[in-house]
Amino acid sequence: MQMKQKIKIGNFEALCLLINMFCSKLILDFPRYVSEDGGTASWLLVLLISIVVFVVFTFLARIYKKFSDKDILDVAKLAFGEPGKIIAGLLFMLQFLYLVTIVVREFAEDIKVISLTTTPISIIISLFCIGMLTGAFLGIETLCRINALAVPVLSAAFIFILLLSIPRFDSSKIAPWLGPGPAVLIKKAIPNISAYSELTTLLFIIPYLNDKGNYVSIGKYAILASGFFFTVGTLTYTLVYQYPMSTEFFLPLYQLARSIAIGRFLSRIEAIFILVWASSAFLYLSSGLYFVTYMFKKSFGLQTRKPLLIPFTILIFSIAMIPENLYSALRLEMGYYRNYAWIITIIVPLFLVTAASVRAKIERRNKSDEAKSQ
Amino acid sequence: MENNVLKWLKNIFLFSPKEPKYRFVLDDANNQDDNGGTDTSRQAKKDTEAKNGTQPKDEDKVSGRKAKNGKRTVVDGVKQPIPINEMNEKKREKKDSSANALFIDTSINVNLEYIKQRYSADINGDFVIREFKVIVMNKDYSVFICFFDGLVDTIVVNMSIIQPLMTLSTLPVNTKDQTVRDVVYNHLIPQSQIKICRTYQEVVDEVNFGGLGIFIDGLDVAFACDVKGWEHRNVEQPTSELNIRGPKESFNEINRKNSALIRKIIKDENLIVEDILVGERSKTPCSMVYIKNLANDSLVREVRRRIKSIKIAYLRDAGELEQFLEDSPYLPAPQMLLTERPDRVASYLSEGRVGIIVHGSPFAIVVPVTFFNLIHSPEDYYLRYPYATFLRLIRILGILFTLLLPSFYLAVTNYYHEMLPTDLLLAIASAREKVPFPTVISIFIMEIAFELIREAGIRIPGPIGPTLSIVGALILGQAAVAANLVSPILIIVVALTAIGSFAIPDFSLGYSFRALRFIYIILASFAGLLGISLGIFIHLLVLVHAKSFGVPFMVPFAPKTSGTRTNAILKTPLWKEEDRPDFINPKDIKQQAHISRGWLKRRGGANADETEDKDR
Repeated sequence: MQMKQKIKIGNFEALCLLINMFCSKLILDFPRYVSEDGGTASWLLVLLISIVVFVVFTFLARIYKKFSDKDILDVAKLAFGEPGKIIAGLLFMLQFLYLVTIVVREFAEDIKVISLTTTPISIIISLFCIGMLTGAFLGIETLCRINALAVPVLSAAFIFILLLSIPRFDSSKIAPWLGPGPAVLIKKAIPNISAYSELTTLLFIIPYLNDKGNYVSIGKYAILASGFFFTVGTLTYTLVYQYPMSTEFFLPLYQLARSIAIGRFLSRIEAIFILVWASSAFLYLSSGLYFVTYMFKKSFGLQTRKPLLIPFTILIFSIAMIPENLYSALRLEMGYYRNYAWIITIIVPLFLVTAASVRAKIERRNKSDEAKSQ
Repeated sequence: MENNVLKWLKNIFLFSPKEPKYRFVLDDANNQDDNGGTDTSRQAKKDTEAKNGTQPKDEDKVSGRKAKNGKRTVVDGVKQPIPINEMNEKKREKKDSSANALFIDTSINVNLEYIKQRYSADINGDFVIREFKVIVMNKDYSVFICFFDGLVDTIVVNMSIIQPLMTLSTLPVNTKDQTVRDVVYNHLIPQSQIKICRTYQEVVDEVNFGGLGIFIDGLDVAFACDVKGWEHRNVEQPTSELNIRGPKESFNEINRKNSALIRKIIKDENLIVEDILVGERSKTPCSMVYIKNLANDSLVREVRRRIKSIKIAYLRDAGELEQFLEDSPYLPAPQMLLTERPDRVASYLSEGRVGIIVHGSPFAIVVPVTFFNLIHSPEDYYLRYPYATFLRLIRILGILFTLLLPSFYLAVTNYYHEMLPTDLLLAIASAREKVPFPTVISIFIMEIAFELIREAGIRIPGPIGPTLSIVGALILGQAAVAANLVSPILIIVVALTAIGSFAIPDFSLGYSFRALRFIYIILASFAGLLGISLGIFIHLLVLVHAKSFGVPFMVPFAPKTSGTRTNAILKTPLWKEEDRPDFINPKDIKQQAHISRGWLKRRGGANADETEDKDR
């Protein structure tokens, strides 16, 4: 009897995976771009986004309940057959491929600016690629477990940095409280839902969960926890750096950590921030690469996923080298991805689940009609 | 319509749109083997059909597939051929069994000749054959005994074997209705452990392991007596797991002594010592030790399966067995615990784990283990929990120093000067001012010099030891600084690294961290903290992915288990350790009563009826 290897993901592990996937953008440029949109009320904007995502997810989870042992591609197959599965899979895969490529470039550019100023960008991207390749190779179970190990530590380090910024808080910096006004905030909230675009991953790991019915609470807790981190992080940033100064720093939280100075020894702790940052990046990127290859494999019904890893890593590396500089990479993210990713994250799953439900209903009706006629 | 679209899409996106008829399933080793067999049989069948001029039918295909399950069916009256490997295996088994099944002859001369030939008695200096006569039921019988000089206890041989056989036969005993074999067995050999052997192989196995064979003329059996008496170490103090509190006994090289040391602590009839021979030539006795009503059956089965499956010629030590049993040979950490302390093995057995004792090794193996078991010391259980927790934290600090201190020093001095307070930065800069090498070279010089001294320190003969210490201290300390090869601060870093590595309780884990720190140094020199992060990430990934006999290596944190007891990093008070570790799945999860300190009942700290007091 060979000991069998079955993929099983615990609730806490799945929760940590999602939290890291959502929150890693917090250490990139999230506080800055919500500052641009929300001004002094950026934290309110973040809160609003989180509430909207929570409500939408609750609705999605309710209609998804009928398919709670299937992932979203199985649902797409139920709705539109094999072509539907392939098209939906490609759509999700391309979204993640785009996202991972931009994020790897952004992380690499930021590292280059902060510490490895003389190292070529290709070398830094290669280091990230090695990390993400190893993580994706070892699979989702290992990735979830390492997230469960790392996320509590990373969260503690993040909160530590926020707490040390308290002496520099100035409540007048968040005035006026409603920033550009409620109407503008609501209008800006819609595209910013893309901050939660990684929510799609939950719909892919459902079959691997220990308790499949728990995906609803995992998703809700992940949105709540991430909403907390997003809001607190943005609020702290806004309380320390007044608008419009808050729109200038390309790495808001790094700037926050850099400015910490409490006594003689608690100062310039941004190096610790780099450890937190790089760890979060490795976790994010390897999960991203895993999902890219998994989606591809699942879409085309391939037997194994691992042979795809190296080609996709090379692809990501090559595409990541295309933008000329950090600004170009940021433009790719903010100009295109953030504006439209929410369609794939929210609208497409809603559409697929609704279509699958309708089709299931029609098939049921047809069967009952046939039974009656017989 | 849908199928057509699907085909069209597959034609576009896939190289090979046709689905293979018999998919190769990666995770089912049995199927792979069987597929091979099926292919062979299918080929043979095709050949037969070609000869007969018939075409294969669908039914035949089905029956061919049925044969996949190991049942070789007869198709169309043709017996399915056996693969060459299987045939060779069967032949070898047959050969072995025929050699083993050579029965003892009734003629003593035949037996004597066989034993002399088998043991090359004419050239084997330590093999002894003693011939004499014994009187049974008033009749003389020729007898010979054989044994290895040095392996047996000569006094026992003389007093308990030869003397009784020669003299007790003259005593009046009731031999009515008894055969010669019964009389000898019941009256003439006053020995506690006698085995009646029907084949030569059984006698040979016993004699090779310190036994004595008795052959009597006219009997078709021989007697094998346990008269082991070889020289061995006594039970001494542990050398690699020293402690201040707790028992100070350690295992020695004798299998039975070691099992007795465990049994002496556990005193439970459910403690099973299951013997398995490993090594086709050495036939080294190994013992699986577990508590029958605690250890999970599937774990016991898996350990037994792995040990029995090992096919090697000689097994000399538990360290060798470990390498044959471990889940992942490439993992940079041990996946089993090797300990020389019976109390530690007993403690793990009482949690539902399985121990393995190897004859000839003073170390016992414990499985399954987690990473956190390897950083625990047996003394943790004998000290009050605050001290034990403090010591564990110190050990973790030691691990971090060993693994990361040199690389962190390198990263900070090369890439993150601003992280250091100005005074410290100036001190480091001034100390490094005269050093001509980059920091990474200085670190490598010092770390390699230290490793050399440590390795030489283990191998060096005792009387020269102090010389090495003096030379080492001079090289690593004063001379290197005086020659401006390294900075004084680097000496402190290397010293802390070395001391940290000695604080790791598990010897094997210490080796792992010592080796890996060089990789961290290279990564830090290459990419500063990003390199270190990459190293930590991959290191953790590999550890999290690893398993020890099916138990995840980083449990109870990754994956997080639901048990109330963790006791992984912080030591919980003994009276709070109510449950056994749930990740081992013991048959009985409760280790002790909810209120283990019964005397508390008198003070109202808990309810008198032993129900849980929620305020406690």
